[in-house]
Amino acid sequence: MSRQLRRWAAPLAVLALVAWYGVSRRPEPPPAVETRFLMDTLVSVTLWGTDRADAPGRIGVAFEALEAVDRAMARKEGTPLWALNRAGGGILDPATAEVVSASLAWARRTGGAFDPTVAPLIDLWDVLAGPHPPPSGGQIAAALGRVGWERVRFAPGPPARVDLGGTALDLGAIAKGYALDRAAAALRAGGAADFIVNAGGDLVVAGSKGGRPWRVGIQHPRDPERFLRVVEPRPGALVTSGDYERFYEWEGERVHHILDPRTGRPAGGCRSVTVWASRAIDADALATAVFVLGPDAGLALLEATAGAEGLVVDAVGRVRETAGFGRVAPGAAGR
Amino acid sequence: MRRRFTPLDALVVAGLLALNWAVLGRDRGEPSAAEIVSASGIRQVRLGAGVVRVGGPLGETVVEVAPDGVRVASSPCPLQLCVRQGWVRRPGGVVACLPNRVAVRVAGREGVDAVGR
Repeated sequence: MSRQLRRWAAPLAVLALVAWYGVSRRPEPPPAVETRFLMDTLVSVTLWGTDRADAPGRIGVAFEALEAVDRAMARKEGTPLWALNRAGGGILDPATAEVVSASLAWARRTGGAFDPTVAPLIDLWDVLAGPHPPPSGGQIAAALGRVGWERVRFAPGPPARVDLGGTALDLGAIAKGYALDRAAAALRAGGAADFIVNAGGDLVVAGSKGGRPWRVGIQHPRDPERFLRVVEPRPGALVTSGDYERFYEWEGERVHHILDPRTGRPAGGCRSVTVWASRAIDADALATAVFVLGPDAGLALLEATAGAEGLVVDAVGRVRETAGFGRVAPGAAGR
Repeated sequence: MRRRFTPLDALVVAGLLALNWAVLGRDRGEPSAAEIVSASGIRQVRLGAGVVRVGGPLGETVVEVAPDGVRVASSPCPLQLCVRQGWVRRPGGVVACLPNRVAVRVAGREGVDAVGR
């Protein structure tokens, strides 16, 4: 009996090793993913551990939340925000009031590096129209005359009211973050715990992927085929602003869409900024503000902001980060 | 007395390893297909399918699906960022023409669950 056991011990051990290796290498069942064009970008909702039959309904609720924010806050003809800008102010619905209130708070906190009244500059530069000569100094000065968050008077109500003081609001640098938060809340209300909501590369990450952390690649700002880093972020929001998302080149200069509300020109200190915060609305506003402030003042702002961390690629490609970024977004092992 | 580990045993183990590799080892993060997202929904295209024309609000986006990756060959968008992006070969990699609402994703086992950008 013992001889038999001895004879089979080695093959059985090898068999167990092979089985263990096979199980550990077995690809996980794929999560449920749905992708749509929304908010002028590509939006994906990835849901883990939900029954295949339940996934479309749960994901659908998240998209409804995103669409509701877009319908209210996009600066497009026919939306309430469009009407508000035309009227120079008025009563706000509760969701828009929350975003306007947060945007004014971030404008104050960042010394105007984040400014929700940047609409005249966006229209003047019109980066999305494609290559064309940049505006003149006089045109920029004229547009800057209609920019200034300090001129906006907001009364929380209810109902909330705003007087734009001759400016116009563009919530594009913060409403996407708010929409991500709303989508995440809708998923949680529906019982989902493990998901990623991805709006054009701005993410809310919740839970895990079957007990393993979600893995997120941070896009390299100059090489679309490379990641700057692969991280396993803590649950929260990871929002990136980059000069490579919407730009054209004119006489050797990169004309991109992140405008400095203080100079009226595309901000030049960074190539990309990634911010982690527990709420996407904050991460979104901060990513823009840090990009505009540049690496030194931007990282100082993040270090002084409780609950926010970030990583910056400066204008020459150097990567810098806050002391706590590696804690909230540790590098992934085995990438 | 017989040897504890015979050549036959070794053959069995080698067979198991080969089976393991055949079932699992092929999944090494190589592209498996291309997924095209547009206003008309999502469709899968086999790699190497060649030129695929996709309609959008601005007109026609021409997608090229090679055996090892995808690219947007032409699109009627103003910035041409999708065309400039060139070939995307990494599984999970996406090239998107946002103005024309066309995106192409390289399917396959991805190294990451999402890309922050």
